[in-house]
Amino acid sequence: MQSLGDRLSRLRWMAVPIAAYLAITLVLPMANGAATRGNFVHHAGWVVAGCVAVLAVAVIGGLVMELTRGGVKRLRRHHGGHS
Amino acid sequence: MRFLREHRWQLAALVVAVTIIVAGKQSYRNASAGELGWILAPTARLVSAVSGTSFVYEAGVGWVDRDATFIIAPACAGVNFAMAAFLALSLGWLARMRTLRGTAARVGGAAALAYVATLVVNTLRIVIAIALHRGTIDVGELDHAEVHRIEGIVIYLGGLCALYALARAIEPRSHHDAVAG
Repeated sequence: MQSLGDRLSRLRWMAVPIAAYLAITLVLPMANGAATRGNFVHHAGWVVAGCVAVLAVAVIGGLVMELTRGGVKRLRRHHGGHS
Repeated sequence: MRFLREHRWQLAALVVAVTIIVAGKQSYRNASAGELGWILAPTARLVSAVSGTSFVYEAGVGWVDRDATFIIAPACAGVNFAMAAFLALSLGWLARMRTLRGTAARVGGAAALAYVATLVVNTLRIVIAIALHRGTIDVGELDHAEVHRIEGIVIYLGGLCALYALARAIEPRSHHDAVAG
């Protein structure tokens, strides 16, 4: 079983799309003065929460796939031993 | 100097990508529905086909379905997603941009892929938004505007990651072209 650190390092590629999304939705509007608008912090909070949620889904999805693969292998080995 | 010479096409691609994004963002800020027809019209057609609605263009408003009491307005165009997708794809393919031809092909490919992905992901987002609006998807006591905002963030981010993963998967096949081109 992989550690959380290993899992996250395997998802390093996600840094590019997430950084691109943050650049377009937060950095560029901030550069245009959107940070002074009252609802911007609220919006930014949801954007950051969304990034964390998508990462969490990817980590959990990877874990589920690994467990499923392990289970299938064990089942095959079990059946192979008895046949 | 050597760094500049070795990475000139990558730097050029970065400059082109950032210029397109900044210019796109500026023009999108005040664009009308008609000016965004290049992306809103196909989106409205796709949404109509997928959700069984019938969106028609109304000047100054956007694409409207009176029965569904829903408007596909300029804010729904998905231009931010298109720019994020274009940036992500350009950055992802940057390492392979070593020649003029390879760089032009990849920047052009990133723009085309970003456009197609925007139509697909934005259609999905709007179809879900219509279902939320109609109550087909029950959100209980939650604020509908807030749910719509969260739905947008999750669909766009998920779509962006899926698009980037797809681009990474198809890129190695064209590696030989990049080096030779």
